[in-house]
Amino acid sequence: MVCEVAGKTGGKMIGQETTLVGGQAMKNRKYVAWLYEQLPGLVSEGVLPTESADALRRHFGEAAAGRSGRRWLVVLFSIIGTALIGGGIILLLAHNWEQLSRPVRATIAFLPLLVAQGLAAWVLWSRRPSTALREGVGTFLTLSIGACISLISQTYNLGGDFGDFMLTWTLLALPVAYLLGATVPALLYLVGITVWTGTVWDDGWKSLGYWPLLAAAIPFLWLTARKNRYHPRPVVFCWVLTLTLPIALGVSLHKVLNASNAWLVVYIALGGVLFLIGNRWWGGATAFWQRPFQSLSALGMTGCGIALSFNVVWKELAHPHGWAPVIDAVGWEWITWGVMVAWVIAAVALWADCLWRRDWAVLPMGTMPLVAFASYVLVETSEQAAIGAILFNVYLFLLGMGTLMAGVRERRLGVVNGGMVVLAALILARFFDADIGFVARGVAFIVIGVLFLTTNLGLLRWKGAVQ
Amino acid sequence: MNSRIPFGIFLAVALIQLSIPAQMIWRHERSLTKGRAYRFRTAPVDPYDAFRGRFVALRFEQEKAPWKDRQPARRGQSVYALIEEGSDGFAHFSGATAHKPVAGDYIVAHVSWPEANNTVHLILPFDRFYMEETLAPAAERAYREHNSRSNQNASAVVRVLNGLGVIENVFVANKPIGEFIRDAKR
Repeated sequence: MVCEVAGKTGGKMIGQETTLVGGQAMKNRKYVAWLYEQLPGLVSEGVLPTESADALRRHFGEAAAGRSGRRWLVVLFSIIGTALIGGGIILLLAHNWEQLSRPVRATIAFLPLLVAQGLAAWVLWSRRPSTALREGVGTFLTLSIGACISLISQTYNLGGDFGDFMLTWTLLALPVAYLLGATVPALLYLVGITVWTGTVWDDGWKSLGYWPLLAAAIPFLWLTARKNRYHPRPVVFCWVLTLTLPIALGVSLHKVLNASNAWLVVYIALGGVLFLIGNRWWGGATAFWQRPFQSLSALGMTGCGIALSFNVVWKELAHPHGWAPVIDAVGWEWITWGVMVAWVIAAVALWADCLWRRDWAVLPMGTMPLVAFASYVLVETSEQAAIGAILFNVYLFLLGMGTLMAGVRERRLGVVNGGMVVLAALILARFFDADIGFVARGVAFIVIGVLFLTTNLGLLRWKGAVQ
Repeated sequence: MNSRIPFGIFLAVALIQLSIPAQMIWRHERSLTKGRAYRFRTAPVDPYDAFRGRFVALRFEQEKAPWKDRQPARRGQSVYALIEEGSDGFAHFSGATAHKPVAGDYIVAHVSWPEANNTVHLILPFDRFYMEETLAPAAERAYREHNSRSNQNASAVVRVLNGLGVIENVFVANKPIGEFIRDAKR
């Protein structure tokens, strides 16, 4: 174990490798305690630099306290408890007590909000570091803001503009996330701005407001991920972001996406950006739940990629009458077009960064936005839909094979399964592809199958593994 | 970081959190206490749409107005709908414009859809009346019975001030809806 820990703490890979160790150590606090005992000796003997020892202490700080599991249970109970109390208050007020006069209702509307604000002020003033307390008070304050606005809306019979209500609520709650460092208000904000975008989808440029609103929440991710990016708080934020972003993207850009028929290409670009960001900054994640950017994006990209492997999809995608009628129909809303193109540029830039860093494991999947964009341009310029379909079939086959082989080489079952899923989906798609005749499909399947088997056998023989 | 700085920011944020609902109350209270009362005739409602949870969904017979501007109206556009009281005692919209009127009462509304004959259909900012949850089902029945095409006897009183309209009460058979239900229960 000494070798394992000492080996993994040295060199420039320390950031990623400690996380791997961290995943195991959290399961068994004993190891962390042992590591802490060893650290002074390792530093004095010059095996480990002081900075690395400090980094390890910072990283394992919570686990070493020996209460990690219990601590998180307390945080969760605190959030659930305050959410139940807040929800109960909202339900009680929703009864709409007829006996209560308007001034009484107004007072009642402010009471939970004032109590929650008082609690938040106390937490901030006394500089309480407890995560459970901060998350609980943050949740309660967030719900109190919603309850206050709802009760006033009810008292004065305000109309049913749910989007405006959500936007007001979430904008008032976002500062709570920053000031208390509470995750729940930030999550509500992500959901709230997505709901709001949905309600204004047809109201001119309004839905583009999602992007500056989203920008206001990103520093929260940076602040929470700064100390430990694998901590549940930034990771949960990433999950909600990965689930809401595709919805908001589609709603806010629907006009140009419809006109350009570039839905699948832009969604692959979005997936590519998230996938590459995930691998760049969350590459050391040890568990599935710690890598929403990678897992969900890879899933979505594979789905979009399979769709683009059909000839009929590319036929629908091309603009046989050129682009002038498209731009005439939508109008040159340069911001909307700009946001759409920005996703493609971002995907290409991150791909270039991946290439620069020679991250070969990530590159195959990360290349999909480039293939999609290149195919799109080729199909648009040549008006040959088949080019796009052929390119995507070849690309997905290579992606599946490459992933499968990488998984076998590294003995990682998850990666092997990932490659198998891509290949199986591609094979199924082609098997049921009505665009290709039965004979052609049959011959192609047999030829590829034979090539597959002979290559595998050749590889095994080459490795001397044939019994 | 000095702990006073986030605390100071928090106080500012808390004040904003309190001021937004307080401002909502102030604006609506002013309309209710100082605004002029207009009686709107309600329109027959879709029976499945009348009651949603704890409120009675309202539809108004008067929901269109002649468009006063040269520039055509757009769907979703925010407009000023001018209100007048007719000889029958019910309110109606005498016109709609994108420019703020200098005189007379008006309501800020949105264009639902513009008609070809220079008429705009409006989305009015008041479309519901909240009731206590135990009274709401009976209220729904009463409102529907007195708001059918054969028996149209329901209306809403809306107080209007500076473009803001607030529903004061809903009337069924000339009685406030709450009182009507209580009388019917006896």
